[in-house]
Amino acid sequence: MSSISQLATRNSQLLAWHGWNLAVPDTWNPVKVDGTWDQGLMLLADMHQAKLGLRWRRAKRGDPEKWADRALKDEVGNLAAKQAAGFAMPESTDWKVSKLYADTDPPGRDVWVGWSNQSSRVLEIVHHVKTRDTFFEQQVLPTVSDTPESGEQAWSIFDLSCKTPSGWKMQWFRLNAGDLTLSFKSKKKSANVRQIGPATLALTRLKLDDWIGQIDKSLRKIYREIDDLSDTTLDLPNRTLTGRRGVLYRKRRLFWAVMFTKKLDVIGVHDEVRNRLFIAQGDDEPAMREMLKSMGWAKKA
Amino acid sequence: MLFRKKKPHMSAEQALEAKPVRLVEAEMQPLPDGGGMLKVSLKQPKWGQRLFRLPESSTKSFEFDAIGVFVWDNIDGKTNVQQIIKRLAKRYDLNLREAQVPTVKFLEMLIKKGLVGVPMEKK
Repeated sequence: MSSISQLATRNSQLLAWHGWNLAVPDTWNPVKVDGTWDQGLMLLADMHQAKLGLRWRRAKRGDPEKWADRALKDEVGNLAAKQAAGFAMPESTDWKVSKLYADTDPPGRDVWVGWSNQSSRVLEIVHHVKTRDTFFEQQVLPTVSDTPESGEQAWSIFDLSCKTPSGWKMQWFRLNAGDLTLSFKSKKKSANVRQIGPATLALTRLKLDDWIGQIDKSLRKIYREIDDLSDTTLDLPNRTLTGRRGVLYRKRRLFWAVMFTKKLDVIGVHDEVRNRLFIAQGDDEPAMREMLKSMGWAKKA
Repeated sequence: MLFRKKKPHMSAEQALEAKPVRLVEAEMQPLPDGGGMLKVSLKQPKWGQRLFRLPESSTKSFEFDAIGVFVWDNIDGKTNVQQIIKRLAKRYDLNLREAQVPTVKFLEMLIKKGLVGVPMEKK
C-alpha cells in the first residue's frame, strides 16, 4: 500500500476496489462498476471516451500460462495473442503470470492479463489507446497490486476512500455525485460509510443533525427515527473532529424480527479541512470509528 | 409527424465542446445561502394574445443553489461545457466525473426551460 502512495503523483488518483489497487490519471473515472470480490468489472473513462476496463474473477485451479493465452486469444484474437510477451511487474512474486499485448497499429487496445498469488484471482486490464505510447505499461501497470482477502482492505473510488478492518466484505455501494456510500458486512455485523460533499453546500440544505437523521429507504419500515443526538468526537492522527451521535432503535412492533439488529449507531462528523460530511451507520461502533478515521487516506496531502 | 422539424443530434464530443449562451436578459439576485434568484419576464404567447393577455410586468422566478449560480455565471457564450466542468471541479474540489454529471443535467434543464441555448454549427 505504501508503494502505491509513493507512486501517486500530482495528476493521478489511487483506485482501490475489492482488493485491487492501481494508480490512474485523475481524469479517468469509473463509469461502470459491478461485481463482488470473486467476480466483477470496472470501466474507467475520461470525459471523451472509455480508457481502461478491468475484469476479474476467482481462479483457484488451472495452468496460469494456458489461462493467460486463452484470455488473450478471447480478447484480441489468435494472431495478436501470439505477439503478447511476459511483463515484469514490480512485485513479481505476487503474480503467477503476467502478460501484455501492445497493439502495434493504434487506435486499438492494449491488453494485460495477470494471475494473482495474493488472492488466487485473475485480472484482465484493457487499455483503449488512440496513439502509440508507453503510458499504460510504464505508469499504470507497475502500480497494479492485489491484497489478500483476509486482512485490512483499502477502498478508494472517486473522492471516497476508507479502510475496513479484517473480515469486512462489501455488501453494496451507491455512488451518486456528491453522495457516496459504501456498505460492509462482517459475520453478523454491518456498517455503512457515507461521504457528502461539498459540506458547505450540504449544510445549507440540511443541518448535520438532519443528515444524520436520514434513514435509508430500506430501513424506514424497520427502525424508528432518532430521538435525540449527543455530541461526540473522532480522534484523527493530527486533529480531532467534533460531530454528533445517535441511535436508531428497531420498531417495537417488530420485536420478533431478530434478523434485524435491535439498534444501529449513527455517527456524523463535519471535516472542515476537507469540506466533507462523513456519516457512519451500523451496529459495530468500534469498527465504524476505525473506518471514519481512515476516510480520505488516498487523498494527496 | 411528417412536417415536424428534426431535432438536431449532438454527439458527446460536440456537447462538451459546445459553448452555451444565455437566452434571457436577467440579473441573478444573490440569496443569503449563497444561491441566487433569476427573474425572467414572461413573453406574451402569440396564440393567446387575444384570448389570454398576461400583465406586462409578469415574471417567472427560478431559484438556483450555489453550484447553479456558479454554472450560470460561466455561461457567457465563450466558455465551453468542458471548461465549465473543470472550473466547477476545481472550485469545489470535486472529482471530474462528480462535476460532469450534475453540470450536464443542470444544463439540460436550463435548455429545457428556455434559459440557455447551445449554438450548433451547420453542416
